[in-house]
Amino acid sequence: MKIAFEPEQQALAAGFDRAVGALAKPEALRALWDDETGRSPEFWEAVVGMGLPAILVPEDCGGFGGGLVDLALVLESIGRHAVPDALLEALVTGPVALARAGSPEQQERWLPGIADGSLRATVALRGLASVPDAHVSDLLVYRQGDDLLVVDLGGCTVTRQTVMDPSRRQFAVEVPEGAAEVLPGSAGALDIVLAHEAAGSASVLIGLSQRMVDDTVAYAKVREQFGRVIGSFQAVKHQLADATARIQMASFQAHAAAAKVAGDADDARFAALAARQVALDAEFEANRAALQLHGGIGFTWEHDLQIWLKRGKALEQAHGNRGEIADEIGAAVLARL
Amino acid sequence: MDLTFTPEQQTFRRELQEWFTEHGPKGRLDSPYSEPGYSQHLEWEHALHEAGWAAPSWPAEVGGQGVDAWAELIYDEEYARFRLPERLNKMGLIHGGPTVMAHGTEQQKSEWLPGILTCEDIWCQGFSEPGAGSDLAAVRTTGRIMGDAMIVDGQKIWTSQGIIATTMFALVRTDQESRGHRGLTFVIIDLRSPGVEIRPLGQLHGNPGFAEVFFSGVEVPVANVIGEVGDGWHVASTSLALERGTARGSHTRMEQALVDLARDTAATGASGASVRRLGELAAWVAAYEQAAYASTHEIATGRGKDYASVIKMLGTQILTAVHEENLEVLGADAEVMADHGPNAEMYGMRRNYWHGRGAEIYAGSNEIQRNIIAERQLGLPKEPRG
Repeated sequence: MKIAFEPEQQALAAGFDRAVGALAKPEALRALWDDETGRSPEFWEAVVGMGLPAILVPEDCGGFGGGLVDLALVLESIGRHAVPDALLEALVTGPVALARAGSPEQQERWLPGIADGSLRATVALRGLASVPDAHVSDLLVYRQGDDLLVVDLGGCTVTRQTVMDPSRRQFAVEVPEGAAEVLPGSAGALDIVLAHEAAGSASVLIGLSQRMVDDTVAYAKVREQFGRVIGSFQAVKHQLADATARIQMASFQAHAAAAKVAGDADDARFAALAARQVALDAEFEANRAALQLHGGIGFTWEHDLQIWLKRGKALEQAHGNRGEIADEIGAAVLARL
Repeated sequence: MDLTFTPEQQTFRRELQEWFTEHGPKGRLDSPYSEPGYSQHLEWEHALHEAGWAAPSWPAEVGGQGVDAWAELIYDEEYARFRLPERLNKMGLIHGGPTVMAHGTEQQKSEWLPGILTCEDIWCQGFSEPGAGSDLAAVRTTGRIMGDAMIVDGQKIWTSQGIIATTMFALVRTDQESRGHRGLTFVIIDLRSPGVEIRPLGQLHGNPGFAEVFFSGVEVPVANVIGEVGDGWHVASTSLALERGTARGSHTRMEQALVDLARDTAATGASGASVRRLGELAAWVAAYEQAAYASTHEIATGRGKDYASVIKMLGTQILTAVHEENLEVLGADAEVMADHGPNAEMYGMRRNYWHGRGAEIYAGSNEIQRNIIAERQLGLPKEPRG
């Protein structure tokens, strides 16, 4: 066993982290809140420039032919910087659904454009009432029963929803009768698509959680009450230790799940669901502790903590919530008896 | 990232499985704290030792096979999977022996290590005292050095294996003027020496094994000091890290507890709420297994990134949560111990439940682990001390 990422995987994530760190500073994110699109073309160009949309596209469709494990650390960075774009959909579940379930003709039609960044995909695996980034995406992959379908968003009615997180852009999508086409390999591919969603979203949650804890630790080292920095009180320390331990444990599982999903392991789906479940628990605790320990200052509109708090609450629900994921895992455990 | 075992490791696992299948005790042994049970355990330990399976990760010179951290993990997994008897000398195997290997002289290694594997000596840990629990540095047992001898006076408590132990690795205060972690010394004490009194201490789940150990004027050779006199805290830190750091098959036993829970969940009707809780727990059990692998990777590559406190704290919490849920699905039947006499020792899930509650306290309580995570990993300041 080797429980470590390859140097190229680490270098890709480090490069991405530097670029995002420069482009997605909190003040830049805030500036986009009042922008109608809420999206920075410059940022998407940077993502394309690093070749990220090509990573999960097969080589014969102009992609890199990589696996989720190549993107796991990038996904953590997306969470750490609260990148507003729906990149899990654009970089992971979109290309994977088309590559795994699409006919050769469908793959040929869509995937080269995804790989070179000229086509942007979004995904809705849980209904069309709140689809992320439909306004800047070209195509939508969505689920209907056990089928995956693809539709050109140009022909759909897209209505913006007002949501809690001012960075997110969510849309109700109406697909005209007959506009969508079924991806014929859906039956065999749905599991692995859902596994990518669960494991990939776990990595985003981990980055998000770690950022909330890091910022709270930094605050606890300088904020004084009762003549001491609050980080010296066990009541504060223990909450941060609990959150840290959960995030650490969630990372172990998320990294393993990314490798298993990338390798199409027999237990990939189970590992991915477990990764999301543990990451959800970790994020829930980090989110709770971050606001509680910041106290009043963290509750103000001016404080940047809200960026991560609100994203966390949105992402706890967006890709399968704790109850839904736990029900699936529980049923799988009973089925193995 | 590679989550597979090499062909050599798989061969090692198969050999072990074959040997355990052929030689493992058939059926449950009696308690090691009973006369017949002690003999049965000793017989098993001798069989392990003769076949070279007593401690395969130990160097060949002292009776091991010198295998690496991954093979040790495989050994621990298979030992747990076969539900083999608890090791008679586990405090020596997991803590005392490795501490001697890390800090002892060649002379001390050849003197102490073989006896752990043959079970000629049964080791126990002498850290906690009535006034030194979580605040371990408050140790008051004294070791006065007079020439070649150290005279030990004081008391140790909650000593696991204490009633069968012959040998204790202990922290004693050799500098009487000192306070806190300075002035402590790590020393090996022969419990068969005059002046040692061992009193059994009952445990709430009825299992014997615990003891209080009293020392009055016990003479110990200064040659038994491991490391330098006064450097005991540092030496003990090795021992504590070993106690907390590695999973030692606990991920396999946790998986077994989860399977037992799943069976009871199914047998009691598998309500929607119980299936959901089972799923939540299964996710954490899976993550704990990955933590064991990640930790082994760190040991195997020598980088030694320290996950010990995270693994100790969450591992014990997850295991307790699995057992709590097992009590929950059994409902009113949970308290019923069929086939037990009144005030008898508990066994099975009920014993494991209470033992797990104890594990949240021993080896540095989970509150102490939180302090360690907060102070060493997050760099938060220590709380002012009284």
